[in-house]
Amino acid sequence: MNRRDNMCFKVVGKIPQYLDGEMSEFEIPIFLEHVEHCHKCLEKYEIEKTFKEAVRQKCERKIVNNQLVNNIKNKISMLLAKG
Amino acid sequence: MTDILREHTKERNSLSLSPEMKNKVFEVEFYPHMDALYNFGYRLTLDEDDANDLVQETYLKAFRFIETYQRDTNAKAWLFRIMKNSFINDFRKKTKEPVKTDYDEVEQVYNSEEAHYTATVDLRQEIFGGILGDEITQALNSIPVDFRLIVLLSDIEGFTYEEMSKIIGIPIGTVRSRLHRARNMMKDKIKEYARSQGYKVDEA
Repeated sequence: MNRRDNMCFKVVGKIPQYLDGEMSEFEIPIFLEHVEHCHKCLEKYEIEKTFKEAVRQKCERKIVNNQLVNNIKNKISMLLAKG
Repeated sequence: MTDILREHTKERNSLSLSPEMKNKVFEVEFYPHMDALYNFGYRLTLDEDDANDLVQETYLKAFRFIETYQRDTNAKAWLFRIMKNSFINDFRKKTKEPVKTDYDEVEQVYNSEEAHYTATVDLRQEIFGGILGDEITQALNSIPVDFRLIVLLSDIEGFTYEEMSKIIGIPIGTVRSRLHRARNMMKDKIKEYARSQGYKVDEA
């Protein structure tokens, strides 16, 4: 494995950390510098990014129903009244 | 968790909050997370009644253990941790989850540098971006609950690795590898679907 491949190898492994907002400030410029100039890594980055966004956007969010909200608030109020 | 909480409660009984203060904590810090908790409960159990029960149990436990909550800290993570533990304690027993594989072993394999490189997605962007909607939800629902849980916490709720580590009770390194593994499992499901729809899926 040559030096460039080795760099790609490391960068690809770091893609999730970057997208999850878990990369250190120190690493970010090095990571972005490589991704911007490496077609293969950029493509992998774009795919990961699209996937993460798709999961966030397309998983329908369930909303709690009012009856449950009222039930819970009533129960807590009763418990609070008891002291 | 409950044992630890009980210990704390014992120690801190003398500092107990007034009912007015408790009410304020609920109104200001706890109630705003009810939708997120319901969504999490539903995604864990895939059942509306079970999700209702989990939300209710979470708030009742929050009341019981409120003395252990440090005000104006991370209420959402605290409540999610209670719900996750309730879920594990109560629902795991009832449901017929397949026998737990040794995830740590699986995770170690996926955690190696080699796996990082080869297991990275090979799906065309347009597949994720364009045609898929329900398939992503289905892929999420189809993976084992330990993995579903971490995707929900990360991608749906936006918790940090550190917060997830506390909510689930696993080291940050395991959070990272389990999340990686979970996403790959979902991608595999989506690839299967894409193939069945006649999309050409790269095996790069």
